[in-house]
Amino acid sequence: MSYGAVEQLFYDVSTSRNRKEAFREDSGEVAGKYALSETEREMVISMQVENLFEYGINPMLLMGFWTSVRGPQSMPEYLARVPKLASRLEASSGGKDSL
Amino acid sequence: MANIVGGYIMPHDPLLFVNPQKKERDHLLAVYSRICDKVRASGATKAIIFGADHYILFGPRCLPQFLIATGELHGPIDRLPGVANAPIASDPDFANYLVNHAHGSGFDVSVARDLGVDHAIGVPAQLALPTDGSVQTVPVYMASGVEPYVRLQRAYEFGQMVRDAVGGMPGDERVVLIGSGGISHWVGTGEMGRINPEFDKKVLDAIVSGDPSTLLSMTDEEIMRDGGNGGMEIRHYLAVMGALPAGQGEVLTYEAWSGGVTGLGFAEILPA
Repeated sequence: MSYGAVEQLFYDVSTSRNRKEAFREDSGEVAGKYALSETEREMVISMQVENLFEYGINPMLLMGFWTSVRGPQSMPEYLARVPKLASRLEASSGGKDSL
Repeated sequence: MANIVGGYIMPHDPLLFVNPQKKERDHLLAVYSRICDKVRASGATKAIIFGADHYILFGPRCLPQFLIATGELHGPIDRLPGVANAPIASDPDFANYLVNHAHGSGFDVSVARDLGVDHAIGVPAQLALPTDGSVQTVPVYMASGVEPYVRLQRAYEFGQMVRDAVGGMPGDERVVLIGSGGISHWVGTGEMGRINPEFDKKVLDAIVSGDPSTLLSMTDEEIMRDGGNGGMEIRHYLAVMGALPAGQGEVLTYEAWSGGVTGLGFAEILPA
């Protein structure tokens, strides 16, 4: 589990123009700079927002990462794919790590 | 003796400024100006703004529960049409006084000695306060956007601490408080765009009543369910209420604006 490393990557891509451009050019190389499991790496480079959301990534950060890489015009696709918070609440039943 | 002359709650929904659907919004932007006029009329000299970081300023390697900015300020750093990223008048002495008081009162707050604030602080600072330097701002960031969240009770107690701090200040400073945040809103989740007027009314009714018990009795799960992850920002309202116990609240404007994603509530709380 390297949940924090995934969020750090997303934070860096969202807040650093250089890191964002590097991710757009070669997402695998950028992902390789973080201590990600193979499952996490696949979710990140494939931008599997459904799985990343269920994994517990902060939704604001996930959205920021998505729009940084794909652009704000891609929000309809993001919203069509990202699960509802209600589903996470039901799944966690009070588990604080996934709220 | 310094005193708190008033409190306000207001949203900072970026879509109100980006306005991608070109919806009518002038009546909402006017409320910021109306509050600014009220602040000016109150003779306020200092402002404390409670807001949340949106994973813009603080990364996973350091997530403060409470942070007070003690140095130079500018913002908002996230570009919003009509809200300039400009200097914000600050008062390091006042900010450091608050930090010292907090540390002596059981709140081990973090500090930022120089800060470009995000829209949570930048919107109210640039739109609801005079920008001529007559009111100096101290930003207080609370963990309301990123886990682990500040407990609701602690947010309220933080406001009580601020009240004690201001009451113990020498001089005749007049302090205004701002709780920055939308009411119900879902950010980055599949519900994004949903607004829950029932939840918003519950929150605003509590503010008008001056009784925080309704808000303090909520669980985070209830807030998430009925007010969304963005609804966690009611912590900032609780801080203002804690500093103005039994204050006289009045809703200035509320709208579930169709151009945005947030229940937009503007309210004033005057000292009892």
